[in-house]
Amino acid sequence: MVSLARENLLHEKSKIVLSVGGVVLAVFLIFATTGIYFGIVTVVENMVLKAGADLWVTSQGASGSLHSPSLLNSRIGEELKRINGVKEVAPLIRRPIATNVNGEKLLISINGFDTASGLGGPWKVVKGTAIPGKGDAIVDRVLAKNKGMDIGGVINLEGKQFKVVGISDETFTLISYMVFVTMEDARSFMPVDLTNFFLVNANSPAEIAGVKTAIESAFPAVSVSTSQQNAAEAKTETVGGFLPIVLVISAIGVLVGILVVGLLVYTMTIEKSREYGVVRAIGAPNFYLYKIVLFQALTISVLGFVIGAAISPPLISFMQYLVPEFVSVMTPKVILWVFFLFVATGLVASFIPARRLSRIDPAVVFKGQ
Amino acid sequence: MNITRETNNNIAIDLQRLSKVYGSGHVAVKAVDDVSLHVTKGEMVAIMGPSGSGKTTLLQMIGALLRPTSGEVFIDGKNISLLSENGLPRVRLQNFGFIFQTPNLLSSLTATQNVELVLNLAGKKGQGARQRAEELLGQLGLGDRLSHKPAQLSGGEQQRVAIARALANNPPILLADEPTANLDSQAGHGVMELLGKVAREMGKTVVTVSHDMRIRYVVDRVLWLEDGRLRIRWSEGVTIDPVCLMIVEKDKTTHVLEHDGEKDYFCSAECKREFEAHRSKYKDVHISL
Ligand SMILES: Nc1ncnc2c1ncn2[C@@H]1O[C@H](COP(=O)(O)OP(=O)(O)OP(=O)(O)O)[C@@H](O)[C@H]1O
Ligand SMILES: [Mg+2]
Repeated sequence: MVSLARENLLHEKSKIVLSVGGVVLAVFLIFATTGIYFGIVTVVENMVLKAGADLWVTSQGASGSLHSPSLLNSRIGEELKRINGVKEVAPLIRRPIATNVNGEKLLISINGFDTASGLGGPWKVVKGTAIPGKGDAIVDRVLAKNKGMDIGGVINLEGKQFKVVGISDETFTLISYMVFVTMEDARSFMPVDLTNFFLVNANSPAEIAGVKTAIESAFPAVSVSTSQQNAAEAKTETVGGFLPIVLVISAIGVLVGILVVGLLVYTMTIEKSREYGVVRAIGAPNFYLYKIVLFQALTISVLGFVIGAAISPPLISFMQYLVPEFVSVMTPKVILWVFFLFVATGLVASFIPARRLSRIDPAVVFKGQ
Repeated sequence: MNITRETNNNIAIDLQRLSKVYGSGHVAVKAVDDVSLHVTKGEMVAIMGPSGSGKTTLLQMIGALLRPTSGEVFIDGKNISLLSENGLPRVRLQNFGFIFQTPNLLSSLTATQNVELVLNLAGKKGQGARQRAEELLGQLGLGDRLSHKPAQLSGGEQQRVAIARALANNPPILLADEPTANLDSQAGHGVMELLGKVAREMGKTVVTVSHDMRIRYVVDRVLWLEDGRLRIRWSEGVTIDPVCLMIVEKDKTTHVLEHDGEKDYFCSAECKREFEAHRSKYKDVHISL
C-alpha cells in the first residue's frame, strides 16, 4: 500500500522539523503552565491533606487553611479532647509574616505544630529532620536554595534566630515560604492565648462524622471541616483566580499548535495541489484526499506532542534548577488531556486544507505546467 | 433521458449531440458544439484540430471530468452524464486510463509507487499490486528505473511511467491529450509508437488528441475538430494548412506553394509567408492526403 500522505510528508523534511518544533514548544508551554498550576494545587492541598488530621477546627467563616483569618482560643484544645470519639487534638499555628530574611523582605508562613503528635508538620522533608526542637526550624526548599541556607545554618525571623535542621519540599506557594518551628517558638509570633487551628483525629473513620457534629454543637462559634472539605476550600481560595490564566495560556498554546500544523499542511496542500488534482482525475474519491491531510496533520501534532511530553520533564527540572520558584508538576491526567488536545489540534488543523482540496479541479491536469 | 442505450455492444464510446458552453452571456464560449460520435471497442482514434478548437474539452467530457452542457456520453452503453458528482471518480477509475500532455507524476513517489497507487485506489493492495506495477514498467522498458523518482527520469521516461499508470487497472479505454507535445520529436515518436503498440496488444480503445501529424500512422481514424465541431473525415478534396492547422479545400484556396515536387495549401497569404520564412519548423507537419 503506497501512502501518498507519508511520502509527501517525508519529502518535506526540513519543514516538518520546523513545524514539529513549533508544536513541541506549544506542548511545553502548556505543560509548564498547567504544571505550575498543579504544582500550586498540590502544595495547597497537601498543606491540609498531609497534616494528618481527620477534622479541622477553625473560627467560623474561615475554614480554608491558607489565607484564613482563623483565630481560636487556645484553651478550647483541652475541651475538644473531652469530646466523645476524639483520639487526639493538636493546635496548629500558620501565621504569615512579612519579614526580613537575610536582608530581603519576604512573606514567611510560620508553622508552629505539635511536635509530639507530628500533626501539621512538614510532610516531605528532603534533608535533615522532620521534627524541630526548641530554636530549630525546618525551612522550605526554595527559600533555602535562594538564601543559600543548609542544615546547620541560621535563619533570622523578626529578630529571632533559628537553627536550620531540615529542608522541606512542596512548601512554597508562589507567594509565601513555609517555615516549621515548635508550637512554643511559634507562639511568640502570635497574640497571647490564640492559635489558628485545632487538628482533630477521631478514634476510627466511622466516628469522624459524629465527632464533627459533637464539636459543632459544643462550640457554636467554630467551624469544623473534614480534611477533604478544608483542602477543597484552600484550593479554591488560592488557585481560583489562577485557573483562568492557565486556561488562557493553554488555549494560546493550542492555537499556536493549530496554526503551525494548519499552515504546514495547508502550504503542502497548495504546493501539491496539481498532484492532488491528478489523483482526483485518476479516480480517487474526495475521502481519499481528506485522509491525506488528516494523516499529515495528526502525524505532526501527535509527533510534536510525544516529543514535547518527553522533553518537558527534563526541561522543567532544568528550569527549576535555574529558578527554584519554578515548581511544576506533570500529572498523568494532564498528560492525557494535552494528548487529546493535540489530537484535536490535528483534526482542526486539517480542516482548512481539506476545504482547499475539495476545490481542486481535476481538469488542471490537462493544462500545461 | 436514456440510462442505457440499445446499441451494438461493440461500441465503447458513444457521444450523443454533445455540447459544452463555458461561461454565459456575452462571455459564453461554445467549446464543443453538437458532436456525435461512435468509437468501437479496440479502435484507436486521433482527434486533431487547431488550438482552441475544443479537443481537450471533448476529451474531458468523454473521461467524466467535465459535465456536458447538453448531450450525453455513453461508456460501454452506460449513460455517465446521469451520474452524481460522487459517482464520477469510480467511473474514471474503472473505465479510463488518462495520459496527459505533461506526465503529471506524483513527485514524492517512485516510478513503481506512482503505478502502485492507482492499483491501491482500485482496491488492489500489497505484494500483488507492487508486482503488477513493476511488470508493467518492465514492459514499457523501465525495468531499471523502478525506484527512481520523477525528477530523476527523462521526459520520455516520465511519460512512459504515465502510460504504465494509465494501464495499471487494465481500463478498457485510454484517453490521451497530446501525450507527446512536451517531448522532442524523437522521444515523442517513441512514446507514441509504444502507446500504439501496447494499446493494440492489450486491445484498448484509444482516443488521443495530437498535433503531431505522424499520429496518422498509428491510429485507425483521425477526426478533425474545428470551432467545436467535427468537420470532416479525410478526403481527397481537403488538406491542412501546416501553419495554422485549419482545413483548406484544395480547389478553393489560392495560397499554394509548390516545392520539392510537393504542394502545400494555406488558408491565407499570412500563413504561406510564415511557412516560407520558417520552413524547417513545419517540416514534420507536412502532410499529403
Ligand atoms: N475552463 C474554461 N473556461 C472558459 N473557457 C474555456 C475553458 N477551457 C477551455 N475554454 C475555451 O474553450 C475553447 C476550447 O478549449 P480547449 O482547451 O478544449 O481547446 P483545445 O482544442 O484543447 O486547444 P489546444 O490545442 O490549445 O489544447 C477555447 O476557446 C478555450 O479558450
Ligand atoms: Mg488541449
